[in-house]
Amino acid sequence: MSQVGTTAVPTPNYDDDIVRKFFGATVLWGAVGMLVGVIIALQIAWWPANLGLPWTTFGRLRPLHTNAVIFAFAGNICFTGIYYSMQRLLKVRMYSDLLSKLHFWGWQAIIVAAAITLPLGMTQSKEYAELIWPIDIAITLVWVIFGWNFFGTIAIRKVKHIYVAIWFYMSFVITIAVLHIVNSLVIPATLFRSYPIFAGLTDGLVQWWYGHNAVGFFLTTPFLGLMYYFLPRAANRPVYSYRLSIIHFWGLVFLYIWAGPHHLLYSALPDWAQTVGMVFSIVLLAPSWGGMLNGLLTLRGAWDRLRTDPILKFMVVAVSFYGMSTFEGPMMSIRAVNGLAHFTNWVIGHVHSGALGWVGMMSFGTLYWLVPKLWHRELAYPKMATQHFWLATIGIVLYTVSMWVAGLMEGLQWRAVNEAGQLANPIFLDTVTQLLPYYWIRVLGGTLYLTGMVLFIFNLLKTIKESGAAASGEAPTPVPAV
Amino acid sequence: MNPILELAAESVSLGWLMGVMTIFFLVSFLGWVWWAYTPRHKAMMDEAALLPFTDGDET
Repeated sequence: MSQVGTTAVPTPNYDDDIVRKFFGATVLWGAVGMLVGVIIALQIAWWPANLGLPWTTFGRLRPLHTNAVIFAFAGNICFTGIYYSMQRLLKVRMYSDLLSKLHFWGWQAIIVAAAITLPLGMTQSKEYAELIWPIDIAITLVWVIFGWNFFGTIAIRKVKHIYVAIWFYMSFVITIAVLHIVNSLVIPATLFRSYPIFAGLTDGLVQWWYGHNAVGFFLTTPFLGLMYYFLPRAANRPVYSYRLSIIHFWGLVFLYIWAGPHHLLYSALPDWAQTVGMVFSIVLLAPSWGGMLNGLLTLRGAWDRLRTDPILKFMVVAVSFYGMSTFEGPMMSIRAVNGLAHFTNWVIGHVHSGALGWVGMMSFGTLYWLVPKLWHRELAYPKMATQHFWLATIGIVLYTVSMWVAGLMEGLQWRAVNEAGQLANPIFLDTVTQLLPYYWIRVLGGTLYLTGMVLFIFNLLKTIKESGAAASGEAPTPVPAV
Repeated sequence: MNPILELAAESVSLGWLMGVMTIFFLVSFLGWVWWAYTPRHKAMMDEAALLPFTDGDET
């Protein structure tokens, strides 16, 4: 008798239509979000790119970029992977097709609302939580629909054991609900304006408790869930250590939630609370690297496939960037290092090594594997996928290295004093204009990454289109209209 | 510093809470490590690791 209860596998009747829909939304919003990113990078290097219009200035497009790549691109790829893998891991169709559809269309409507309100300058001015209160309520409703469907599916599962990827997804569903609701507690003044219920320092602490856990539970745990399902599938071998994956999960969720105060070092936050944030951030290195090693060692005995398989190239580089960012992050949360790094471009570089390297590359690897499966077809241009891989990798390296250099220059120059104790660089603007070459290198890096994204979309659309003609006896599945 | 203010500052630094949390975290950590690595669960873990490969719809 099976201990995890895999003996009774029902005839699969999985809802893959919802997976295809979320895939379509992922590539659409991903392209938009990354394009806006390149535009604002260009604006920093060359200000006339703001076009002199209020709607296209950096202050309005920057939240549009972050919201689009985090909640639209990363959100939709997570939903794509979750709807595909959880049905298969639990051996059951989603609890309710209606809830799945409401989740999909509701989430896309929220994205459209964000794309309209942010350029119009409507914001509650909390980083990564800019959207105004009516949209915040819509997010809560859609998230409850998703959570209901998600836990409903777990409740009717046909397998006793809940695979580790589902645990990572669970932490995503629960924690994001809690974070979003608490950080969005406001008193509405008009339809478009509101005031937070928290004041001063408390508001700052709640904001960064939210902000850092958005990184932890929106950009890390669901992607680790994807890693624990799609990496073994793509490598065709089980995860290196299932036991380590359990330590990884519990270690990560216990520690992450306390790390937020590292955004408030040297602030009015009490010293002990800053120290708590710093200590938990440093300890986070342990489960993070446990997870990274678990991912990499899954390829034991199959490393030769890295030479030929673009999917594994993407996934291995993604997991490597996960390791690098989760080393860099704890280091930057140390008070002394943070004193150098805070407010500099180093932080931007760190974020993008996680976002472009970990989140982006994992998403590409997952979709290169998944889309041919969903449409019962081989990938149209495997060589183009490898070209995409190199464009993206070189793009990330240019981005992160230029921002490291720029950040260290700023950090060192701002703190430098002469023998009399006066600032060695008293004219702030001089420390800004010297960064222009690095800003241009970033534009180049971002453009390479975006070019790779274009190849990616072309390749996958071609794959889907050809499947219509080649599918044996099956009606061609229409490309989801989003 | 005014001794009363100092006492107040010490009492809100919540040292006892940190102690309790440290013990709670340590016990939890040892608990889940034990759960994952106890030989009794090995067969179940090995089987669970294969869950992604029992799709039922391999193409």
